Amino acid sequence: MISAPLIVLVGPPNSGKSSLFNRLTGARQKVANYPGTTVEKREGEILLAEGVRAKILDLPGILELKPLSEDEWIAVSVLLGMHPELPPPHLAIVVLDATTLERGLHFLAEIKTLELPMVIALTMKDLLPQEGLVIHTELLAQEVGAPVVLVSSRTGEGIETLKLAVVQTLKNAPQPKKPHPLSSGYLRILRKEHPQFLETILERMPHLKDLLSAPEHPRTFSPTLAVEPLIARVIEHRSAAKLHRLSEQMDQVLLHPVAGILIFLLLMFLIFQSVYFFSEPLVDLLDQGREALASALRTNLPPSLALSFLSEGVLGGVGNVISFLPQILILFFWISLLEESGYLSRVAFLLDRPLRTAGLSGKSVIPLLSGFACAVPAIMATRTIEDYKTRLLTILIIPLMTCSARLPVYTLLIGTFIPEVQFFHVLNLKGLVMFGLYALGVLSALLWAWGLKGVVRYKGIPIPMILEFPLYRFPSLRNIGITLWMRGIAFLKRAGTYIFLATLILWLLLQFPRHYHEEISMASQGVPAQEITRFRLEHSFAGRIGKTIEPLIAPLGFDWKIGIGLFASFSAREVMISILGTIYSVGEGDAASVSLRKAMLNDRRPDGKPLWTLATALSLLVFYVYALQCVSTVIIMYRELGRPLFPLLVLASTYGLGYLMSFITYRIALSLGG
Amino acid sequence: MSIHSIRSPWRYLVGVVVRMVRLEPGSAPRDNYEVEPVEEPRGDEPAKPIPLSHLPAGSRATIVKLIGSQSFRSRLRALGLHEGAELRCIRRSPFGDPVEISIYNLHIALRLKDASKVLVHPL
Repeated sequence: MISAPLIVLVGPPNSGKSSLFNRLTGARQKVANYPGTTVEKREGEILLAEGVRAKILDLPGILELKPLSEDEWIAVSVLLGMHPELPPPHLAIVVLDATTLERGLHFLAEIKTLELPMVIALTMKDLLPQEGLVIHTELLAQEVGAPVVLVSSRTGEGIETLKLAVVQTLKNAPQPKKPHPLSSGYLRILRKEHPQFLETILERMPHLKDLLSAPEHPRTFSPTLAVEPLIARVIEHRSAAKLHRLSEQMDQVLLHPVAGILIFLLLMFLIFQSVYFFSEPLVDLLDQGREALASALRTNLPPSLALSFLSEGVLGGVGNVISFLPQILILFFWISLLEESGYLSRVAFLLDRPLRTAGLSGKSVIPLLSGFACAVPAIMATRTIEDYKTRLLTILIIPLMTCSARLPVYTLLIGTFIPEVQFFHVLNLKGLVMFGLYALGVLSALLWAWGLKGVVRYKGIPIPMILEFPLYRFPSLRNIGITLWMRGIAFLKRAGTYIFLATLILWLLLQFPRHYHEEISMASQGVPAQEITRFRLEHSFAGRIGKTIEPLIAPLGFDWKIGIGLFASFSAREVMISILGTIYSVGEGDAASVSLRKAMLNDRRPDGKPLWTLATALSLLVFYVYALQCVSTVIIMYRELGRPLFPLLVLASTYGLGYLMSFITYRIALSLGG
Repeated sequence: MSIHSIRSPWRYLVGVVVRMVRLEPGSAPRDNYEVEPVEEPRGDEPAKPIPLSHLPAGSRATIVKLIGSQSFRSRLRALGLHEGAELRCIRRSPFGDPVEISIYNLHIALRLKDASKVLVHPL
C-alpha cells in the first residue's frame, strides 16, 4: 500500500466519538473545514502497530444515513465514497455508546447496509458495571460479521485491542473504489423504503445513478440485521442502573422549575466572577513580560523607526491582544467543563421556550455563552444548530454578547471615570456599571433577534429540535485540555495574522507622513518631546482621518483623538487602548496604566473644558456595547453564512445602533449634569 | 381535566408574552403546538391513542404511530422512537415547553409541536 489508509470514525452525536478520536490521535490532529463548506473537519494520524500508519477522520455525528443538515450530508457522502475531495474510506470505526446500545444497534444495522469494512467500538466501558449492564460482544461480532471492541476513552482501556482489530480488518479489506460499489445495497434499500429521499441524494450526487443501474453486486444482498431479537440477546441488564438513577435524581433538582433556574443563574454568576478573579494575575504577568521585553528592546537597540515599530506596533498592538488570552481560556474552560459534564444540554432544555420567543432555540445556548469569550469560536459553535433560520439569528446576535476584547476598554473607562461609590457595603458602583453593560448587550441581543425573526424569511425542511441528555459524568480533563489547546492556538494564530496586519497598517498611518523639518526646528526651540509627538500625530494620515470624522462623532461627545481610536478599532476593539496610549504618549497603552488615566483626565478641548467627562465616557462605553468592531468576526460570519450581505448588514446595523444609543446616552448624561 | 392543562406559573407568564406578541400585525405564523383535546376513554372501548404532548409527566406509554413527513419520522426512529417501543414522560421544562421523555436507556427532549406527532398508547 503506497498511501496511508483512510479510517473514518462514524457514530451518533454524544456517542463518545470525539473522545475516542482524541484518545487515538492525542494532539496529532488538525482542525479545518471541508472544502467549500463550513463543516468542521477533524483529521489526525495514528500509529496502529509498528510501521502501520493510518489517516483518521472524525466524521460529524449522524443519527441515520438520511441526512438533513449540511454536516450530515458531508458525513454520509464521505461514507459512501462520494465526497468530491476525499478518497473513499478503507474502513469505518463505528462508535456506539455501550450504555445506550439499544439505539446503537439500529444505527449499526443501517451502517451495515453500506458493506464497508468496519470495526465496532463500544465506548463508555468504564460505566457498564455501574449501569449493571453486560454486553455479549462475541455474539454481536458473530451476528454483524465485524470485530466488536469495548473501549473506555477515559481510562484508555481497550484502545490497543481496538487498534489490533483495525489492523486485522485492514489486512483483509479490499482496496476501496470510488464510488464504493458496495454502497449500491444502501441505495437499493433507499429506493424501496425512502424513494423521496433517494431523489434528493441523486440530485446532490448524480453520478450515483450508474450504481443503481449497474448489475447487482453479488454481496449486496446480505440479510439485514434483525435488530429487536439481537437487542434481547446481546444486552443483558444484570442489576440496577446506578448512574442512571443518580442522573435522574440530579435532574430533579437541576431541572426543578424554581431551583433549576436559580442554580443556573448562580452558576453563571460564579463563572463570570472567576473569570475576573483568575485572569487578573495572569494578565498582569503577561503585561509585565511585555513591558520587560519592550524595555529590553529600547535599551539594546538604537532609537529608530524599526525600534518604534517593534515596541509600539508589535508589542503594543499584538501584545495587547495576547494579554486577554487568559480570560478567553478560563471562560472556555468552564464552558467545556459544563458541556462535558452533561449540564449544558439541560440548560438548553430550561431555556428553549423563552429563547424561542426571540426566534432562537435551546441549541443557541452554547454559542451565546461562548460569545462572552470571543465571537469567532462562538459563531463556529452554531454549527450544531440544524435549523437554518435559528442558526442565522444566533450568528447575527452573537456580536452583541460582551466578548473579552471589550473588557480592556471597559476597565480603563470605568476605572477612570466612574466614581467609587459603595451601596450597602457590598455593591460597588463600578461593578454595577460593568454588569449593566453586560446586561445591556444581552437584552439588546434578544430584542434584536426578536425583531429580526419576523423579517428573516426562510423556507426549508423543518428539522425537529431534539435534545439529548447524556448521563451526568465527571468531566474528562484530558478532553478539556485538548479543547483549550486548540482554542488557544487558533486565537494566537489570529493575533499573529489579522491583528498583526491591522496593527502594521495602523502604525504606518500613525507615523507617516513625517514632517522632519518642523520636528527638528521644534526640538531645537526646546519644545517638550510630548508636544512633538502630538504634532506628528495630528499631521499623520491617522490624524487627518480623525479630524475628518470629528464632525460626525462630535454629537456623541468624541473628538478627533477618540475618532482615530474608533477608526483603528474597526480592526479589533482592544486596539483602542494602544491607540489612546500612543496618542497620550505615555509609552505602552495599558488598561491598568495610571499615567494614561492621568493624561486622559488632564486632556482639554480647545475651549478649555475637560474632554473626558462622565458623559463622554458613558457614551463611548455604550458605543462599545453595540458596534461590531472586529474584522475576524466579519470574516468568520462571511465564511459561515457564505454571503457578504449578512456581515455587511450586521456591520451597518450595529454601528448605527451604537451611534444612536451613544447619542441618547450622551444627551441624557449631559442633561443630568455629567 | 388532565394534568397537562395545569399550567406552571412560568408557562402562564410566557403565554401572556406570546399573546402580546401575536397581536403584532403581519408577524409570521407561530408554532401551533396546541392539539385538540382528546376525549377521555370510556370504560369498555379500547383506549384511543393520544399524542405524546398530552401524556402526563410520570406516566408510561407505548408508541403506536408516528405522523408527519417521511424525513421527520425517519429522524424520530433514529432517535429510538420506534413503533412499539415503551417510553416514559419525565417532565415538562419549567417554561412549559420541551418535554423530557425516557426511552430505552436514553433521555431526550422534544418540543410539544414535534411530540404531538407521536401517537402513544398510555399504559
